[in-house]
Amino acid sequence: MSAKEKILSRIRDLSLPPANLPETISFPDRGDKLGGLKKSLELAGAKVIEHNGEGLSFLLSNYFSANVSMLSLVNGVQGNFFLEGINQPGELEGLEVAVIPAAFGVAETGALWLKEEALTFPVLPFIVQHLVLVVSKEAIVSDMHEAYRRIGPMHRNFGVFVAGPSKTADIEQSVVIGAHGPLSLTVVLK
Amino acid sequence: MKIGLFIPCYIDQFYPRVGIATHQLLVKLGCDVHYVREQTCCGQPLANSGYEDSSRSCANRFINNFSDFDFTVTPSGSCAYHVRHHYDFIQQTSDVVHVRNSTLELTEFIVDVLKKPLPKVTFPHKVGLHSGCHGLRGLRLAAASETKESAFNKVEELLNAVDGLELVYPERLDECCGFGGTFSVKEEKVSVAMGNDRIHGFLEKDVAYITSADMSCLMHLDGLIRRQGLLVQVVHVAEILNESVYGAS
Amino acid sequence: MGHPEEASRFLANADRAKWHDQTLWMVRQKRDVATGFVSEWEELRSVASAIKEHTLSRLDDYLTEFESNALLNGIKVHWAENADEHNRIVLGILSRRKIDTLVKSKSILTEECHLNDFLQENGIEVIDTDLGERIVQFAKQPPSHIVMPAIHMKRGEISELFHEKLGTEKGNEDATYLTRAARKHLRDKFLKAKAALTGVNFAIAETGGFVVCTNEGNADMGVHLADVHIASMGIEKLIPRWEDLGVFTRILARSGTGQAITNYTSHFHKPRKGQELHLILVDNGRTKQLGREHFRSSLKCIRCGACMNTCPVYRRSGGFSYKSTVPGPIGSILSPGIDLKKYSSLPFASSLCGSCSDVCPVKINIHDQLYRWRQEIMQHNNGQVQGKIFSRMAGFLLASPFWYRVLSSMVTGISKVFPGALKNSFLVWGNQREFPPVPRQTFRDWFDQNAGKG
Repeated sequence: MSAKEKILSRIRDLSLPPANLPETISFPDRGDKLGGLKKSLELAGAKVIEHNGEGLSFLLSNYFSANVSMLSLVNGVQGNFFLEGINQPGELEGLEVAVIPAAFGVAETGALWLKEEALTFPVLPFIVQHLVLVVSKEAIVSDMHEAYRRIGPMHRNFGVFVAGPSKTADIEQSVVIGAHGPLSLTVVLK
Repeated sequence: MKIGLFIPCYIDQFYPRVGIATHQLLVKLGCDVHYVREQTCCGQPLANSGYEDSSRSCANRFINNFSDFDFTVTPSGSCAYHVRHHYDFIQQTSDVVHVRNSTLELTEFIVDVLKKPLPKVTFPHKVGLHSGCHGLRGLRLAAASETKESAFNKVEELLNAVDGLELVYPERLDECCGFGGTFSVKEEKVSVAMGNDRIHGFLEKDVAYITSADMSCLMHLDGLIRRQGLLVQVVHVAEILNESVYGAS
Repeated sequence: MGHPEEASRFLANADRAKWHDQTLWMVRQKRDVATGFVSEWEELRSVASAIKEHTLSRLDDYLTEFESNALLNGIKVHWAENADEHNRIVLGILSRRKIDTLVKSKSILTEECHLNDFLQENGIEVIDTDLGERIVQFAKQPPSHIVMPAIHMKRGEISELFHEKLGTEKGNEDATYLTRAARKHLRDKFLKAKAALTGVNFAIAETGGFVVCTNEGNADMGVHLADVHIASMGIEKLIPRWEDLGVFTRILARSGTGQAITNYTSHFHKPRKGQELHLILVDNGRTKQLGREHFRSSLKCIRCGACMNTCPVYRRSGGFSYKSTVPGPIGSILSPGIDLKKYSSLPFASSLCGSCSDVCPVKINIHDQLYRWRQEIMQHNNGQVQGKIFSRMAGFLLASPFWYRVLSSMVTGISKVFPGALKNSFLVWGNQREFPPVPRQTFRDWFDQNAGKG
């Protein structure tokens, strides 16, 4: 018998009494989703900027110097680093800033959903030194239940909720922003 | 309503004043209190040590002693918890089911069954309340700090009615004192560290007394307090409610 | 040495022990704040618990469903009956591609399987990439906590270790400085690694994919750069539906660290173009535990670590005192199922205060199971006959009103005649505590003289 057959038959032989699966749950809208999202993100160490979308490039130039490499996957934001010619994800090492669209945000946790299609290279939001996520103020759901319903049973390769800059507290529980991933997360709500 | 009084072994031997206070308090509250002289131990020390099986006759004795009463009341959250929660290892006769359902810790009996105001008592002191874990998380005498249930506390409810009593909690609201029965000797070092931390939590709040609905926690804390000569005294809730705290004005 | 001796050793360094207790208590407090924001917290716990209970009751069906969906996604699925099989599968995957370096993100399962030792014996370099795990790997220690692996170490020790291993400035103990040094060191490893291994927080039967949660981003740095992604999971990590993730992502980080959610919640379903994605389903004693009625629900555990942070014993005895891969309360109910004799002191390393059960986001009745393991252990009793005889005698004497009286009067009598007798050091109670003063009369004597009259 294969390991699989042995494991499955051991479980079957127990003939455990079935326990009920609860219905999926949902909760009523919690109101002020924009305020909730901002609060959650700030709590997790992200910088949040509300912006109408016009002149976003100019706005970001206030935060990042023109000398640094910047990749933009967001319409209306001009970068100086391009994915053409990048074949291996490791070649993204050294990229300073990436501006990426997030599909939507979750008010209660500050999580922003990034789809693989929007990333080209899934490593992008992790390998870059400073991450800028742009999300529409209209695209905010109340909680994680709604978030997963919105995505729907997933069949794409990869998707990630990002809820802050990378961080660690492994040295005496002192929080350090910038562990392996981005040293900062800026979220633009437009 | 016939009440059987269960006085745990260590209270009988070392803290009769707590048994007396409980008895007197119930009488003052108009209860028909009976003390079965054949009572022994509920068997918890054995069962918690892994010898549930050897404590079978203790459990059966307990059931025989108390099956004729409407309620069995005890000034120990821990013993009540053991009877209610662990007595499933003996055959569940109707007597067993009855006794398990009707064995109550003193304060919950007063709050949930009697639902009567207490006689007016005064205790003009700053008192710290220690919630014994078996009463707290086993009998749900109060909402534990881990849960998000709306706040309630049956012991506090009773103490709030005492004139002059200023009730305080340590910063770590309901951390265990480290008694834990045989745990106190099996894991002596950890037990003592927990007890000392608990006491210091109360001393930080400048209390004159530490009270609890569980005398076993207090026995452990008192042992540490007296060894170190600390200026704080332990009293069982029943003693305060009965206005019979030894040495108090 | 059992837990009490190990705990004594830990407590001997009083300052360190106090720091450990306070630091973890702070994490418990953060958890209280985070869960306090969620008005339906108790409902979430109940639902999470019920989902897990249901899944365990039909685990064979869900494993089958999960596997067929995962295969459709292009994931290579492996099954391992035990640690050894798991380790050989990992080695086999690496050997076929002639890969000699593996970057790993946190996986308690691979700790349980002692994968690192096995691979290193077979010439593979293993690099743990979670900062805490890298620290303990440098120190040649196992993790002392499942979420905060290096919580037992002080920054001075870490600074010294990094000075030696990474060439950081001697004496520089700044956490940011040290973290940056590790970042630089590990970036280099990530960029070179051909294979990355991750654990699995949740695997979804409905979609055949799995979720990995980190704060550091190390799991993603590893797998998105490597040609081979290996994910190892215990078979109990399954959940039935995609939407169930809504429940579990809400409770995991809030319970574990007091964050609303981990900074990265990554969902893997298909290999990246040109990448191999392997998933290993591991039993290693889990089906045995599933068959134990009283202990089955321990498999609901989502490894949040909340029971460790709240446990007054864990905080004061340190993770190593348990000598098991998973320490703390949950470890004390899982480990005896793996080796009853070796871990027989663990179910007694608890005051049965029940804080673990109340803090548990999937409502495992941990303290009840500790009590239940005590019964099992004493029934097997490891060949100690005295304990059994003593307990039988005690049971008999305590059940008899006559002998109970004789015994009690002996205790009080002895202490009245020889006040010092009970302080004798063989009675451990008296080492640091006074015995209760012996009163003039027992309650029963008082009752006979007063209330019992007439």
